[in-house]
Amino acid sequence: MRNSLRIIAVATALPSCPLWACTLCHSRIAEEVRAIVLAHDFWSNIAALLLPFPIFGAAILFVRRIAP
Amino acid sequence: MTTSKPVTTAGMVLGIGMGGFVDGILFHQILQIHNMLSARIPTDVLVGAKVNMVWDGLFHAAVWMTTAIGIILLWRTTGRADIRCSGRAFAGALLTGWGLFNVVEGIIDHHILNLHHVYERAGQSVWDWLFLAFGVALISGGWLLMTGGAGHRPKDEPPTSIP
Repeated sequence: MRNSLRIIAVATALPSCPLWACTLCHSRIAEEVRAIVLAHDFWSNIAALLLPFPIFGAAILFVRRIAP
Repeated sequence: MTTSKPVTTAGMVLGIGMGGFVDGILFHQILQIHNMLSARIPTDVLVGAKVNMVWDGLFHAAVWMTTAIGIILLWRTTGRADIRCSGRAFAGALLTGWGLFNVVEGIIDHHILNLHHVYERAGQSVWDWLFLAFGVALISGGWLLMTGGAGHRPKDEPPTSIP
């Protein structure tokens, strides 16, 4: 009985919070954000974001090699 | 024969991760003086701010992964008897890692790719150079600590081996 009430409470609460603030969910702003994030330059932006990380790895290997 | 290299390697990886978090938390979120793509997508309108928020999140995910790798590397040193644990060397490695983050991220993102600048309203400015200079200072100080501390062990301290 108690579990049933919990399930009903959760089920009725979920539809009432459509997550309008969610960047990638629904709403006009969300659609605009999604369109810009996933635009033609998405993969180039991902590459730019990740570019420093292999260089970090190389730098660490270099420092490890020259450190006493 | 003992070595502190695995510990300092883990420290540098952790330093890079934590340096990334300093940048992301302090500059992107608390001070909001730049965001990941703020030189390309203006942050003074809601949509632009939210787009940058997504890219800030991806950046944070990447530095979180880096930090996790550092923790794994540090954990792997704990069972080894040939590891010399030096707090000085580890602290130096953390600073070196943080400095490496500033220098590499600064050169690539601020100067080459122009993804963002330290103080976005000013564009490329003296703040970008100060960011790099701070990175170089961190590497220098970290290197001194790391190399001075690598062989440093107080007289009464036995070689460390964690069971």
